[in-house]
Amino acid sequence: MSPLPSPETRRTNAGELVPLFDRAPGDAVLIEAAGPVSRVRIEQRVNRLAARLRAHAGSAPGMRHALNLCDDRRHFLTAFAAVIAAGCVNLLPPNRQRDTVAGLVERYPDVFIVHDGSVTGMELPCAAINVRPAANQASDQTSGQAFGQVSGEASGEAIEPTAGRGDDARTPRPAARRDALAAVSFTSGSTGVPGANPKSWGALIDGTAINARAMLDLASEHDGGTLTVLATVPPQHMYGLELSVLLPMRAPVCVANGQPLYPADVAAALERCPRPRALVTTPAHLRALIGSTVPLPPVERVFSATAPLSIALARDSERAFKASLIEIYGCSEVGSVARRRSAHDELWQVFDGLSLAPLPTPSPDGISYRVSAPHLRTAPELQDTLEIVAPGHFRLAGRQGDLLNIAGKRGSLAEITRHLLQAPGVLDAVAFQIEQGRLVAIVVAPDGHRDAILGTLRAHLDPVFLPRPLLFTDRLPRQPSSKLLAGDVRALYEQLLGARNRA
Amino acid sequence: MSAQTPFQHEVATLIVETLNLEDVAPDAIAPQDGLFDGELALDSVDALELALAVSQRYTVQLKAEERSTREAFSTLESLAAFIEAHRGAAPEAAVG
Repeated sequence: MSPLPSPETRRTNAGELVPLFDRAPGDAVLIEAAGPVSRVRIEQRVNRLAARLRAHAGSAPGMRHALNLCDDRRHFLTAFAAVIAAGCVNLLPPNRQRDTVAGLVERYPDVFIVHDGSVTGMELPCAAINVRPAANQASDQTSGQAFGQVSGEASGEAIEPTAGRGDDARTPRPAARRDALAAVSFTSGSTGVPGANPKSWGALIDGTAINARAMLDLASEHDGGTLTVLATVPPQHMYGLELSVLLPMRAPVCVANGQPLYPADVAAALERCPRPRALVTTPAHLRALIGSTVPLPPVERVFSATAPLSIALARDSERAFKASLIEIYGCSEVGSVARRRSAHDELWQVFDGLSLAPLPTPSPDGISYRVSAPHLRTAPELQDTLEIVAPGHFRLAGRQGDLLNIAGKRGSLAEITRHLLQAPGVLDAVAFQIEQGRLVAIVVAPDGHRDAILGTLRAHLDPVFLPRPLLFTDRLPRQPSSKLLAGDVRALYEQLLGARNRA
Repeated sequence: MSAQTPFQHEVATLIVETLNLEDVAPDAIAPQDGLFDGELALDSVDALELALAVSQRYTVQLKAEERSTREAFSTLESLAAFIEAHRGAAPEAAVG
């Protein structure tokens, strides 16, 4: 396995051209309906698309921003790579809602959209390129003529015009400089302008190396073979981007195309994946899979992230898939940060290559930490308070992390609770996130009315944070210290739900 | 807007209860209104929860070849029709 990136590597190699795909030429990067697609074939597709993008962006070097709205995972991956190869920057919006897209278009006037036809019928606020090959054979030729001379400086991409398609050995490698800006992810708060997290190509390379080492366990388990992953999460968010786009680009991972939703479809898609194979998913999907009667094929690994996963569901999942389930903990600015085998372990393990440093002033809930690494420009603060139990090992200190991320929007439980307490008639309140990813709230409001309470929340919060359901009770199960324990809240929630459904 | 059939009403009630749509009366779901891109604006997590409830109540597996649920059962009408066409034996009799 390649060594972890070091500060020296970063500094001396800033201008170095690094190929986008770090795989052997014949290795499968993805599997589509027609079969596996090798590194060389993907590179040919990327080269063709990059040429078209460069023609659109103009031959001048500079920051042209691309908003990737591809629905199909292989189109997303190809476009993601082609954008970098063309010297452009991938914008990764937290969601595809109209307001979000409009906000980005306003913020980045030179933005254009890359899509795969799924935006037909949508009113697009800027120029758009359909990346599907079939739709663009004519324009392929046009762009072939257009880029007779290609500047190699800015994007760092040195490519000869139209290398023979059948001649794999001479397919030029799409590449970019380590210090080229490759992507910008956004962390969206419940109010205000989303924060931008720029990522250089070098940062993506180093982060992916760290992730591969932490997540793949290849040396010990698979003798260096290729792991096929099937993801139920979209490629646009950090979790999906890291595991279903970046890992296949730079590690012995092959991603199956598709994004199945229903248990029957997930099971069928997994069945078609060669082994060793892994499922990349979330608690909401696991709940549905375990709850269904669909027979689940065995896999080598299950990954879960994005919402709290109960120990019970972790154990059920391991039993059902006959595999270890690794839960991933991360934050939007960095991506994945720590892992835990939740069915067995309470402690999280920070990825090798990342460091945690405590903030000087503890908060009421405990000590907060920053994540740092040589490849990270800033050291973002983790939103949960942690208890470091041994070097690199921590447990989450609070009853639950305060920050939640729903549909790509970050909210604060504390803030939502504050709004609840300010709503008319509310005497006490608790808000928490359930496995489906949703927010639930329980209030004590003998004279309160549901509509008025929800109205107060609607006025202050994004709709994704509206509790569903909003439950009423006489008293919250507070401890003498007035703390609320997660288990007690959960029990009350189930009790109220059961009572309501029986009514 | 056409009125709901009795079975459509039953499915509408399942939707409202399963998804905790507290502000929505089952009667108010128009049979031909898009569940995912219409008034209700359900999302993929809703789709999963609904799929679970439907499979448990009617012993039928929801499938969609592609990620999009729009083709398979985009409306109350198409969902109810799908369930009626594919429902299995009563849950007690179903083989696990």
